[in-house]
Amino acid sequence: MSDSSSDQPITNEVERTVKPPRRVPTSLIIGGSLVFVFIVLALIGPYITPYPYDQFHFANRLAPPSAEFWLGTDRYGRDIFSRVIHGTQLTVTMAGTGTIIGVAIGLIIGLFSGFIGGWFDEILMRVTDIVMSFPALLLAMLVVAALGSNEINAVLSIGIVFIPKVARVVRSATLGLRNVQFVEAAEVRGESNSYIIFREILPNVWPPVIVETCIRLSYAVLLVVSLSYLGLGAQPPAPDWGLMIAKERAFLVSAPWVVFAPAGAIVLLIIAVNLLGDGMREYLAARKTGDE
Amino acid sequence: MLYFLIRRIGMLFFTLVGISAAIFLIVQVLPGDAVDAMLEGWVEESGGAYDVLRAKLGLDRPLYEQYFTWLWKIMQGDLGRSLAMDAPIAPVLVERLGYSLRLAIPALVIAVTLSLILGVVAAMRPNGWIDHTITVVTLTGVSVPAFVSGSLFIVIFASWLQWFPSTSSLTEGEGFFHWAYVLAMPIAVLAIEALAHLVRITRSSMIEVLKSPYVRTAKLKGLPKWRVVYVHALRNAMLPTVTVIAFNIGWMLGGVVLVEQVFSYPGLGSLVLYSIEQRDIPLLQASMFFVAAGYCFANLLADICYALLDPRIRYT
Repeated sequence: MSDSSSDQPITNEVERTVKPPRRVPTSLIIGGSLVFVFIVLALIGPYITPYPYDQFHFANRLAPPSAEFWLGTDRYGRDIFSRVIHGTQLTVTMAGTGTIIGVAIGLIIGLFSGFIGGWFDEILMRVTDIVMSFPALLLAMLVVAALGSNEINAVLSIGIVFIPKVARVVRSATLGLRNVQFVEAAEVRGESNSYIIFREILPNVWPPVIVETCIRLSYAVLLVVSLSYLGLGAQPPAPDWGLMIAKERAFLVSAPWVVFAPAGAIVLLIIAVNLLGDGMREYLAARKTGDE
Repeated sequence: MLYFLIRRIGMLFFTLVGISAAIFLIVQVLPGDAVDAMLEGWVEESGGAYDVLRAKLGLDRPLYEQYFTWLWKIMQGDLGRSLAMDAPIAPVLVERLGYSLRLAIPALVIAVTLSLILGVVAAMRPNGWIDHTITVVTLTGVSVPAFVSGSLFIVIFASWLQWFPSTSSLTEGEGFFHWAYVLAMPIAVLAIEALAHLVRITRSSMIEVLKSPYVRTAKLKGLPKWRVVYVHALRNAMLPTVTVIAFNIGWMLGGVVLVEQVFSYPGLGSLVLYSIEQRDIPLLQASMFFVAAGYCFANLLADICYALLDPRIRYT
């Protein structure tokens, strides 16, 4: 923020640069490292599992956890440990892509809506009102129903659900910057609208966008696994965590380990992303107050 | 207040029209229409039946005409006929809504009551051990999707302890206690889901309110502590909670879909899922509209509660 008034002494700037580094919140460290582990697993998972995710071991159907099958096997005798590790890639990619689509489009809509204003803004905001009056999971279900049940459409539906919410956040941040001096200066210089939006405003809306992205990411994981649980996401034999819980539902009573591993993976991933989001918000809030 | 009400209800009307248009448009993207679904790919072999059926269902008319016919019928309370069930939709929807509300209302009441108690307890001593326990438990609570906790509940309470049945099938004519027994697990799962969100909000707003000067004044006047907390502070601390309850109803509707699926319960959510699986377009449109409209009404109610609770807000 370069809006410090001119009568302040220069030494203030120097003091600011030698301040001790800010404390990074613990939740950011824990959440960040957990998310990092999940991303690494998503990348190398398929190469480190003891068995392929779709290999049947008919002699060992619904086998309890053992040295041979660490987390037991499912009704076809597939190794659950291998399937859960494989599934990381699917869930992380789907949640990540859905979030990126939603945030990218929402960001652009929010920037233009907030900056241009007028009827353009009015129409876009009424449309987001309507989209937001659907419960998130039901809207995603409706979109998947229209496009067909598979991974790609599930990702698209998550993006669509997120667009209005991200657009709202970005729009209000943009409105706050609309009358700031450096934006007015750029207008007086005769810069084009897109220059002002992308070079002057965008760099200043990153903090709320980053926090919003983290929040969206945790909802994205929830939506991905929920859609697959309902049979509206990845299709069998994909090693999707939600799908695994849905398909083995009949064996909950006789072989409960079939759901423990995917359930644990889902909960751990969502906790990791939530911690990352909380930590990021705390960190950026501290940075903001530190600057003033 | 009256002006606010009229304005708010007028807005609701336009939102509902917008919702109906959105549902109609999204469903139009579906590859193939209701007739294709009915004939299941035997279009060529069916001879003239294809065109006759399309004309009968009005699918040969322009899109905007179809939409306005549909909208006009909905406003008159005619939701059309389900293709898969071959029955009028409205009675089915009302029946399923009843089933879903039997889950959602007790869950919401339990969640709100407990969240006010736990949130206040946590806020009385921020960073004490009770507060930390509640924070950790609620953070875990928001991180567990309803179908995961539901499945784990089945393993623990139905399989290991054998306290409750693993499916919530209902038989009419049973007494209240039988209902409570059968629905205990799904209600608990839904309540925990909502509770986790609500406690976090109640706690943080309570901490804010307890710092404010009027609470200090009340304490210094010598009022008993419980009176300061529960009468003076809670009323203001509840404001953000009310907003979050409305927001939570949206999540709960999603949670209801999942919970109904986990416990094989015949509610509104499983009806929506059934209509998707059967590609029953009239049923899908009608049930989606029903759910979205219900969500809008819940939001309206929350706004009215907010205005009643907070006399400072006057929407003029």
